[in-house]
Amino acid sequence: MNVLIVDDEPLVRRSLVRAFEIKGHTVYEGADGTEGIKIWNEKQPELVILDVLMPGLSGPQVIAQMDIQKRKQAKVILVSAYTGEYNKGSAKNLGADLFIEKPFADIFKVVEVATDLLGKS
Amino acid sequence: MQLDQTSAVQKKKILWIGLKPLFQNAHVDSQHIESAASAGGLRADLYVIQESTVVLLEESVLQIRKNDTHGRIFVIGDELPILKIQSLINEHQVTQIFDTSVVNMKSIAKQIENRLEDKAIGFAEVELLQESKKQMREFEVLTQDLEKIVAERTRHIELSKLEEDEKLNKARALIKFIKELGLHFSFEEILILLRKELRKFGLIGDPTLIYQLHPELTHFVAFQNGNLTQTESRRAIQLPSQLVPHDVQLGQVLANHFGRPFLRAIAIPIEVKLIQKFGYEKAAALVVVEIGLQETELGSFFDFIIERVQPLSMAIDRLLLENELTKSGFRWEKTFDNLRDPIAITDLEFEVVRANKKFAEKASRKKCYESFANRELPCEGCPMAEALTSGTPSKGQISRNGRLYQVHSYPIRIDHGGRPTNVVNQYVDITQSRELYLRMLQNEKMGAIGMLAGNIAHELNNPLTGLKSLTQILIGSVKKGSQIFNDLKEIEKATERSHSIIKNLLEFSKGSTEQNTKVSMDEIVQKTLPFLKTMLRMHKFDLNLDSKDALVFVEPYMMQQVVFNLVNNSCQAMKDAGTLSLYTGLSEDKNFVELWVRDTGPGVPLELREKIFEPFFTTKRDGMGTGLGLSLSRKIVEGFGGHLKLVDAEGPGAAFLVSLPRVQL
Repeated sequence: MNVLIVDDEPLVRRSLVRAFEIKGHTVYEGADGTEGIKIWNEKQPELVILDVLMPGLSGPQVIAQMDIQKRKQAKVILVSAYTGEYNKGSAKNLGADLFIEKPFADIFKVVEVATDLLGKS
Repeated sequence: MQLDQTSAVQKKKILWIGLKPLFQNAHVDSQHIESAASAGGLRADLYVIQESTVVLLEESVLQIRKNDTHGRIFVIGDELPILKIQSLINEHQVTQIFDTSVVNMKSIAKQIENRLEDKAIGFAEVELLQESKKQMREFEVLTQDLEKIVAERTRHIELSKLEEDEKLNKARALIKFIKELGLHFSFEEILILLRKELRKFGLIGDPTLIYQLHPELTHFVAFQNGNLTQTESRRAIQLPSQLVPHDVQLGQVLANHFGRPFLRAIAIPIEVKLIQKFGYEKAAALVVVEIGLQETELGSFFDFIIERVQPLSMAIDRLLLENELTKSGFRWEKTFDNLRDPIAITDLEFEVVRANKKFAEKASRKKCYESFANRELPCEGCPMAEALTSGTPSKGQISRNGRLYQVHSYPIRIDHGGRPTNVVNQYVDITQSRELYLRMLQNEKMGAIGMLAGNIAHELNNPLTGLKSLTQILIGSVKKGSQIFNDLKEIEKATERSHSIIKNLLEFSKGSTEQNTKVSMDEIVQKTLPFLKTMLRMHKFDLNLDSKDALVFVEPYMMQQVVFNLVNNSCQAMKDAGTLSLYTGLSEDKNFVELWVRDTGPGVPLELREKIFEPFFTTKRDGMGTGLGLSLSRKIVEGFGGHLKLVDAEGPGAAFLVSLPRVQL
């Protein structure tokens, strides 16, 4: 499956890229929202992992710019270090399918949760 | 017979009427009466008549007395009848009568001679007598005149004494009236006194007092049916300023007001200068008396009134002023007492001259700091000295019984431009507003710190997430148990510790409003430790946590604040490097979980041991502390049903003990 990682923190991108690659997925990465939406349009990934707070476009803004039909065919996970403010409900409100808070307790669990999310559909 | 003549006889001119003169020099008149008569102008010093018959004798005497009323006449006879003798002596002033039947001629001559010897004296005596008589008469006239004068004078004096007495009595009566006026303290008493005075003149009615402070309101103090009444009228009434013997207009006004006729009302204006100066420029007063006196009595009545107008005016004026002063004084006092803030007027020595009830229930002449703050020295922060030096209002803050007051000191100058003689101190309780302000400041500060911490946490959490995740990936890619595997495991643990520190910081700075939970005191301390490290850097830190399994029921983040505050205070108390000890454990009865914070600083002076828990009490310099740390901590601990005490202050060092009820899991 094609996975798009959009996060302005290189280490976060790298760890996620490595974790998904280990599991055999194709991973694209964007350093900010603008880059992210560009790759989204080009590659049509099935899974997008989006940081909330980023320079330029924020995670929710990226979602808002996605083509609705294409968006329906993919899963979007928002990640953020701001805990408390986001939960599953607010993730839905922001147009995402899931919210995961940073720092991740275990990176492999994140890959598992994401895969499960795709499997459910 | 002729005798030798004595010198006295020789010098005298003697007229001898008869035949045989006894003296040589005697001019003998033998012709008896004829010669005596012819002797006409002949005056003698002495006449001697010696006749044979009484008839001749008498005739001779009469002849002599025709010419000489005063001359001395001697008569020599023989057995003269006693009646004749009396008549000669009494009616014709015959000097002496000799009876030849009793005395011989020689003896007669001798006696005449002797008499003549006396004559020199005799003449002088006569003249003197005459002179004396004349003088006597003059004197009598004079005396009579004098008596007239004296009588007149006496009458005059008696009259003027009466007048003087009357005047004196009048003056006495006036003085008595003035004295009595001075003893009366109400219009009623003055009117009663005046009525008593006026009773001296029969047909005079009771006096009525009318006064206005403003022209629009007229007050009447009057006798009505024997009782004194005070009434008012809002009608415009013009009070006359001159004495009016028959004020018809005023009579009508009074008749309207009292509902009875006022006959012949005399208006006596009362000067009220004092009350006019006091601010009632249009104040006026009047005494009205009804009179039924005759025209003739009016004069003395007016005199009587005119004499009394001035003292009466002064008394009424004084009363009006006193009433106003009392009223305004009363108003001021009430205002003063009802003000929200304590206010005291002191002198330069801090002594309270006047104070309102909020300042002190009982007025006492004490120093302001003694009665208000119960101190022996002026309060710290008192602005009085500054106000006196600068002469302008100053303000400062003092604390008393755990409350904070903003003191406004206003210097008072009695005379313009002089030095202040007193200070008015107003104490505004700003405890609440100050507390609110500091709380707000604290909240704002914490809010700002929270936001900052949130931002930092986010900024740190991002790379930390990458670090941790990547470490986990690397761990998965190396051989378990290898050197690199172990190293990577250590890195992962470090990221976890970092994460928990960040999490704690976030929660602590948010000043969370979470529910009370059962938590161990040790855990609270441990979670607070990362934030204490900076302040503990220069001191030795002795930590002994021994209540791991003992739980308390608190809001963890607030309890963390307490720990933080206590450690922070203790560290700040130690100026030089010292030891800070932090112990946890159970109380002796094991019902309380205890937290001890002990330092090795100077300790807490005896008099400050309770004060340090008062809000705003601080020994730190401006801006270094709010003075809320300990008071807030105590409040928090007490809110959880515990106590915060200073248990050991003897020094060196001080120890604070927090004890919280232990709860079961």
